[in-house]
Amino acid sequence: MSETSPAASTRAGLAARLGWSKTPVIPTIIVVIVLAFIPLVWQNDYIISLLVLIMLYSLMTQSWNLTIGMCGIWNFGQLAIIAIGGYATGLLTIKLGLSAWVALPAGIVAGGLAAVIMVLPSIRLRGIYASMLTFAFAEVVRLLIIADSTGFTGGPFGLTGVKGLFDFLTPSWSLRAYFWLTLVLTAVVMLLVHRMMNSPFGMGLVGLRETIRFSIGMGINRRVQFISATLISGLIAGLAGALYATFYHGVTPSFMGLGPMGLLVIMVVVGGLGTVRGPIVGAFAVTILSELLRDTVMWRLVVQGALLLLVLAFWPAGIDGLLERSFNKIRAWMNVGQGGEEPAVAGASAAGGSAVAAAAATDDAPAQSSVRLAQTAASASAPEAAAAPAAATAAADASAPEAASTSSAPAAARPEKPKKKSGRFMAWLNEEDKAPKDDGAKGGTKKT
Amino acid sequence: MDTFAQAIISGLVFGAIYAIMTMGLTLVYGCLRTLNMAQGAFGMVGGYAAWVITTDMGAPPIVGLIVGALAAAGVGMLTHFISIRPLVGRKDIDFEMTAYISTLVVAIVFSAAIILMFGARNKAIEPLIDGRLTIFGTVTVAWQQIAVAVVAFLCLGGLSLMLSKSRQGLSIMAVAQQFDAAKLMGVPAGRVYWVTMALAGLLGGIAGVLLAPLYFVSPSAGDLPILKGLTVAVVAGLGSIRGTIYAAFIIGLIETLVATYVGSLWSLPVLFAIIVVFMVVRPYGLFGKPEEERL
Repeated sequence: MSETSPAASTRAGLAARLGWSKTPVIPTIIVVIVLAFIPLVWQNDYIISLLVLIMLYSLMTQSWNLTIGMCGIWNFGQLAIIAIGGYATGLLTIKLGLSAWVALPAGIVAGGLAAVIMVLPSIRLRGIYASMLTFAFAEVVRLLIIADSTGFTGGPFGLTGVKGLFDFLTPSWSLRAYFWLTLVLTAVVMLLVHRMMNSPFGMGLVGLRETIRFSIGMGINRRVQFISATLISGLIAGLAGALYATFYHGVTPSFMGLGPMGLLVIMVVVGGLGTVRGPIVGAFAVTILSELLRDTVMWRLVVQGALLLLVLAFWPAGIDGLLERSFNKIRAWMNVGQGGEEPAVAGASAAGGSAVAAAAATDDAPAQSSVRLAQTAASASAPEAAAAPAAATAAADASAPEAASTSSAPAAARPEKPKKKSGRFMAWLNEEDKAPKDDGAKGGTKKT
Repeated sequence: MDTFAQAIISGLVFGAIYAIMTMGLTLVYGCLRTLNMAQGAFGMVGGYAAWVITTDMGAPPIVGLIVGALAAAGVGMLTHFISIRPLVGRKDIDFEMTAYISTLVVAIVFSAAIILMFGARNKAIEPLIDGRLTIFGTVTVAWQQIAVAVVAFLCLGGLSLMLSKSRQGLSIMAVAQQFDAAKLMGVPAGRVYWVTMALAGLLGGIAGVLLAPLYFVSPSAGDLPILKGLTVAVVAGLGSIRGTIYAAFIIGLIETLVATYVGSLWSLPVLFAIIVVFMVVRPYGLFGKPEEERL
């Protein structure tokens, strides 16, 4: 550890130690530019509006995932925040006659404020209680809007006639403009969230989610962390709501009902709770699935619900985690084939798999390859320190002492990027045992 | 005075229904340590089963009640095996939250399935007993309300007998109090789990059939009861059986009084305002113990 600790004070050093990934700005810009040509190439208004809907959903799920997935605040009132953003924007354009471009920032701010107000009392509550409080908040908002008979919010029928952002364009160009705007905003939000989660602030959030007592003991200020995260989440939610209201020229209280909430829950969980890409993947997958079931509308929810139950039972990390795991497996397999040094990151199960492969390979291949396999397997499961030596020794029967010595060295020296945020945090925790205390404290508490 | 008496009576009746409704939530929370968001859906399924039996097959309402309760118990067991059982004992997930989400989605799936089977239209169901009983002056009570109260008290009494006397009930209590100790004493925790879910389904189904004549049987008939059940559970303190009964009557009375004197649109916002106030001031409810960690 001693050679890394001087560098750890800088962000780059810290990032290298904790396995933070760089914010993929350039690839995202390239992808956005490529996607931006879709409406020009594929002149199908229906497809484009569907894509806009997917972007809006991914903004919503991204904002929700920030509190429910990243921080572990059981926030079940996010739809009310989104709707508040939409209502604020809509009311400003209708009642005050403001331009939608002026009303949009107001909607964003309204969303942020509402989120902070909602989460403030629930910060000191644990899991299920916080969920009920936020749920109750959302219901109060919904029922107050429904019960409103003065006509201010439109009551149960909702607001109609909200100005659009691109009313000065023809409808089909307005649709394309919305597509480009939401595409850019989704990408920007994703990058911001990614950058935030790969920073001391985000590390503090993950720490609070995983081991709350330890994190507080390390000096992480829970309130500041949670309120800041909630504020950011609320701002994104307000943005999503405002865009939704201007895109559809209206917003109704039924948007806050159980049905849409179920849909968003399915998106977040199916995509991958607590990951940056997950919400986008989930919004995409679930919306495409509902469109495929367009002819049998009634079956939609049944199929989506069944999908969620399957995901929960078999891949709790969601589609994103599944993709990443299989991608890593393929990469590990290719690296082994080429004799590459890059270790695979696939957790204990992959380690076991490689060990079996190594045992099978000893027949025709020389002992060298089995050693390398064991090494890969061991460094793959660096956080699970107990599993690694076991796998290594089991695999490299023939050259046991050599394998053990070579595999334990890299595993201890360099915790290779564990994939899940929790694993990353656990790696960081394990490192703390050996590293001097001030380093870790700096990493955890800097932002509070 | 008459309106007040009328409001008190209907408040007590609603309180009785909420009590059996929420008792399902309380039992499940006590045993499984998670909120069963499908509790409202159990009631909805019970209502539909009773409707099928009484309207399509012409059975008497009491048979409808029994069949509805049994159907809901079956659905409770089904919910356990498809949404809770796969999650029990897993290390890689947060059971409490995952089960919460999966039962919520199961509730949504059930209402979608009901729409598939019966359509989205409301169904009217006939009450257990018709007619009204005049108590004094202009204050009258529907026989249905009396029947509801009787059934509810029978349920609560039977439940308390079962929990305190029978082997099954005692094992439920044991698991609720100390899971590890209960398991070490040879209580079959897996069976206790599904028995509890079936019991919750039974109670939810009875509540659903009792509520059905007052509202309608509809695919979204479970939404309102689960929201009110959550309110009751919060006021009572999660997992407190005695508190649930008191809180159910308090909530029922508040609801009808607000509906009578302020306007029926306001009764739900007031209830949720109560949740918010309780959460801020007394998160462990009226009768719960402040056992939850509060850092």
